[in-house]
Amino acid sequence: MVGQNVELILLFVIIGCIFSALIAFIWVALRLGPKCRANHGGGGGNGDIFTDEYRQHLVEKGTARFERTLDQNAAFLQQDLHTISDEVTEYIKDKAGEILKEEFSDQKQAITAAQQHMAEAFSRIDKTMADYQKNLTDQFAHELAEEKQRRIEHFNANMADVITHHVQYSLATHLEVTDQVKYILSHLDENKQAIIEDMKREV
Amino acid sequence: MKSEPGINLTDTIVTPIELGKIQRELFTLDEFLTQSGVKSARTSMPLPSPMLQSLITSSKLEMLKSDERTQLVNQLKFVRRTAPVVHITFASTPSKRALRALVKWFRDNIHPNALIEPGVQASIAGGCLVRTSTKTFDFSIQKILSETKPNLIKAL
Repeated sequence: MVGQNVELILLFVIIGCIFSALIAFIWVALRLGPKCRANHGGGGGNGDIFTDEYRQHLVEKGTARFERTLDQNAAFLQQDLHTISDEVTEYIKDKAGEILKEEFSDQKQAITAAQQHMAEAFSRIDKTMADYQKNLTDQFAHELAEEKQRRIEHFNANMADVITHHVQYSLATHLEVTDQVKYILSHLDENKQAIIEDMKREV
Repeated sequence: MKSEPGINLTDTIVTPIELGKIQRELFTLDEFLTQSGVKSARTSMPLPSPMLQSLITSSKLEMLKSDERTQLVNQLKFVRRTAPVVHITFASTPSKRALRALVKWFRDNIHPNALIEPGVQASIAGGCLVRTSTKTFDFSIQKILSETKPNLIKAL
């Protein structure tokens, strides 16, 4: 904004200089033009100071000076324009840099917050997984112990059945009834009364 | 408990099947001797088995006399009808000697003409199961093994 104002002011000053130079030239030309013609009367008559040649010389001189002034002003204008453009470029650079810095700062803050949030979430997940793992481990150990106990009991029961079956088979195969008669008779004697009462009922 | 006087089964007759066999033999012999006067009767006399011979000897009856034969037949029929039968299950097939010893105990203590119906059940391992009409007496080794199973489990 400031740069633009400077540029405008400079432009007006330059235009003002050119315009004032032009006015001065015209004034000089008008002032000297009829007098010079009168002095030379078609050759200096009527009180004209300058001759046509001198006037031509002044015109050329004025024109050259005007052109030089114009060139100078154009050069100044160009230089000012370059300066202004450089300043505008620098201004834009700085401004853009500031804006980018601000944006990056905001983004950085957002990223930092997101990272922190993710870190907290991961830490919660880790804790939850650790608790779950511990529960699973405890449960597994408990069930393993129960299963072990159950298998031992099952083995004991089955082993007893296996041994019993083996003993029964061996005795049935190798033990003669004749050898057992004494054993049977002793039991019959022990239960004699009950047998007698039952067979009395039958008879 | 007493049976009809005059007839006591010998130790050789243990089971109802053997009693039935004796009865059939006696019937055949009686038939032969009854028809022995008839010319068309067969010439060879059926030989009595050792069981029948021992029964005839112990009963002291004259088989050549028809009425005594009839008496023996009727006595055996009476025994068949009235003799108590005890079912005894063994772990393996019992020998004749073992059965005689057992039937002797029953005839000495329970009834003079008691009969034994033997059976086999290997799972009892040893001893026997005595079944009367309403009761079962378990003298088997299987019972002893079942009762001592908790000790076995404990020992294991």
